[in-house]
Amino acid sequence: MPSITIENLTFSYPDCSSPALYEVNLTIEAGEFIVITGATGAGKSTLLRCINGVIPHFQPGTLQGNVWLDRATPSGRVPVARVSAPQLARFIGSVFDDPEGQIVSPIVEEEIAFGLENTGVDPAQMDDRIAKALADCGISHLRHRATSSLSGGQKQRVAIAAVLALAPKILVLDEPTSELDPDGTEAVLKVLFELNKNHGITIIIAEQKVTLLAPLCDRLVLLEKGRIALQGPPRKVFMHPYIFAKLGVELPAPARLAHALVQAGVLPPLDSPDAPPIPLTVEEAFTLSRQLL
Amino acid sequence: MPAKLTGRPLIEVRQLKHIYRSGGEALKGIALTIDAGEMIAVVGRNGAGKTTLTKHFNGLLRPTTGTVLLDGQDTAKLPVAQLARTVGYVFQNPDHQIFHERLFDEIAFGPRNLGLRGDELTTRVDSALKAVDLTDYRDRDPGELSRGQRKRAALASVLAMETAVIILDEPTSGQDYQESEQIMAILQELNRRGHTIIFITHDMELVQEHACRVLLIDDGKLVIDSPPRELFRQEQALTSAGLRLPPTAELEQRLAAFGIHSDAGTVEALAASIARRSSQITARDSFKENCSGGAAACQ
Amino acid sequence: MSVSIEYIPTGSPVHRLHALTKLIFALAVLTISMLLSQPLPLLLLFFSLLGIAALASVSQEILSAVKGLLKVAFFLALLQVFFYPEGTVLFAPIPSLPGLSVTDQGIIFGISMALRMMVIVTSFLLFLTTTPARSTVLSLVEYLKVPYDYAFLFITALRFIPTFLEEVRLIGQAQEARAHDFSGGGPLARLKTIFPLALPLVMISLQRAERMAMAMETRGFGLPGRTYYRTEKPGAVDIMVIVALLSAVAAAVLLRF
Repeated sequence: MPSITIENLTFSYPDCSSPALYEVNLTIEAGEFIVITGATGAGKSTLLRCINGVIPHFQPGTLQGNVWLDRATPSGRVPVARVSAPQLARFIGSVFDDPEGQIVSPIVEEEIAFGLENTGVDPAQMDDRIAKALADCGISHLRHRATSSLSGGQKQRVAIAAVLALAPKILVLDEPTSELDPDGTEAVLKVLFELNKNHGITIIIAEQKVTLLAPLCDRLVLLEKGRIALQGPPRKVFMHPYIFAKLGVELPAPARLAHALVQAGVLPPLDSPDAPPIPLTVEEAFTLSRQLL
Repeated sequence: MPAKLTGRPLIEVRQLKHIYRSGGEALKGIALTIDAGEMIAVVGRNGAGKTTLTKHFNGLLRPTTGTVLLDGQDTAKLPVAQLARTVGYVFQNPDHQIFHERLFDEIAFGPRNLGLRGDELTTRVDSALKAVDLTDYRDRDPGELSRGQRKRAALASVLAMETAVIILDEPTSGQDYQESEQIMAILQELNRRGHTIIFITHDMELVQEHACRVLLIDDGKLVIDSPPRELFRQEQALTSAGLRLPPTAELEQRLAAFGIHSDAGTVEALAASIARRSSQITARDSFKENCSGGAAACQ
Repeated sequence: MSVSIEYIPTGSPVHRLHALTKLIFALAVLTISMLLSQPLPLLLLFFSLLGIAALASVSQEILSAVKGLLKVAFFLALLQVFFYPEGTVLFAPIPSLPGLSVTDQGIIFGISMALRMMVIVTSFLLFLTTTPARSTVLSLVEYLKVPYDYAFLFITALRFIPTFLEEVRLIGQAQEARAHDFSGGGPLARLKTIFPLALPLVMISLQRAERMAMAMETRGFGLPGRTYYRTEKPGAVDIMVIVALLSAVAAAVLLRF
């Protein structure tokens, strides 16, 4: 069952000669964990903004084609551009890269309550929903803390909990870990993985670095100058190191090792039938190497 | 050219403690020396004290106790504007400094403050713009630049001051792979020309590839001061400081138990070493010969 | 002078009162202090405020603020003493300037003025230290019909004070590191040195406001039918306190006229 269907999407920012997205077609299934990557300017953020309604609701420009939000109404699908930004909040949760710029309240529990208040949730239900959202993000202990006292990783998890409280079907995250340290990054990715696995929430995330996300995601989409250059499960797309090099996206070390082992003549070509699957984690790369010894 | 070879360390930190006005102890007694021409990475989790430490090198922060000597002079006794002649500092967020309407003027801000005028100023600014590949944007509004470009503009504005030491707070955060490589290549080149480079980062692959020395800061203390390779051998210390081994280093270490001796930090070297070992094993199996030494002993 | 305007959660009986009650309290004290013209009743009022501060366990903060206020109060009193025209002249420092003479009524008026200022400031400090901003704003929205958007702006502003201060610090450091001297020259030059601080600050704040608007609307801000988490209703104690306060104001009015 599709969750988002993108049809012939072209978008140009004002005063820009070339479009930021050009005839993009993409279907995202409900419950999918999808990573959008590409070099700076490839169109990652623009694509995400078309999905979460920031385009066209906040960002002016020329938009052609459609982003369909499925099951948004009983009758079926509706274009994101026709749903107002606040209305969209019930279906799509948006998390941005700057932890500081998306927290509006002085206290954590008030921050989670903010969206609930906006969408007219009965105050009697709020305590439970706040508690659940915080628990799902592993930050129940932060409930009464001042938001200004939190670390970046904690702030991002508060931001996720705040949109999660609205029970969206889809989470759209634009480089949510770019400002975080390794512990913070790990904590945020763990939350996303669990939300996807345990609650079936569709995750759409844009990142420069795919090393940590590759083992977690169902599909990687590589953008190049506003077009989809390559997409598929990580083990499939990692078969094409030259495309990664051309697009300026770093191939994760475990996959690079597999390619280097082919070069060194100890592994058959990775697309041949008797080749092992490309490793996504250090553990898998270790097992693969171990088998050769 | 900028580094003075006086025989004494360029930066000397003695029992440095820094306590914030709010009462938090950010640095708990740090001692280290930095020589001219070094390329140093400073690592640790957010809030460990990395930025607090490096801001003492150019007097942005003053020691609560202890001393920081720059080229033998006590930084606590010199104004920041004077220390800025020797130590440049590139902040993490370029928007914390950019305020001119023309990129040229933004880059010229620092050198002008140092008293440069006329041709010398123009030469410096233009060569800094060239180094960061922004010559085409010389007369444009920095506001039009992408975030990656603004980050390089901030770097150029410090390069133009031609300081002996350049400190960078997370120079590659928010940059894509090619932009990161480009920034690190600039730093490598500056280092070759004699500048001392100190960069703060979370990216251990960057450390592995570019640093000659790494300072691991945790909870306001200098936990490890060593070349990257030695740091990577202390996985326990690394993880308890909130960091991770770079994937290749982790693989090298785990495979060491299986006769793989590679510490070059690249997957190519690792694959070559696996291939060598694999062929030795095949040969050994065929000759029924027992080899107890490492890979080198067998050759 | 350090005046704390921050909420200090101590859980005292004063803290447990409804925000509206405490707002009425501050306004009632303001009104009464305007109606009292003699130093003694004002002094009594002032000491009773300190008593309430003790009850609220915020004495330390209030007293340190009061200490800071003493200087201001002294100057205020001095000004009034010299410039108050009415009453019997006790002392004229410059005989050719009768306007500067010190009169008996002038002394009383000056002291009252200073005490009144202390009373008003202290009562508002009491209100701010014992009431979370959110409660204040919500009671403004609910009982005084202030539009939520404005009230929300106020809460957000409070939330961003620490962020803003941190940004001022970082920008200042970034420019200092490029050898900029913020302390230079006369008043005009001084003003010019502020640009490298002010311009990035404005740019960053604008960017942040834009991103914030986006983050808020994508979380449903602006939908009709907003509800409120934890709305507090005034209790029996609140009603009693409010009635007492209003009676006190009425008594003060009757005594005065």
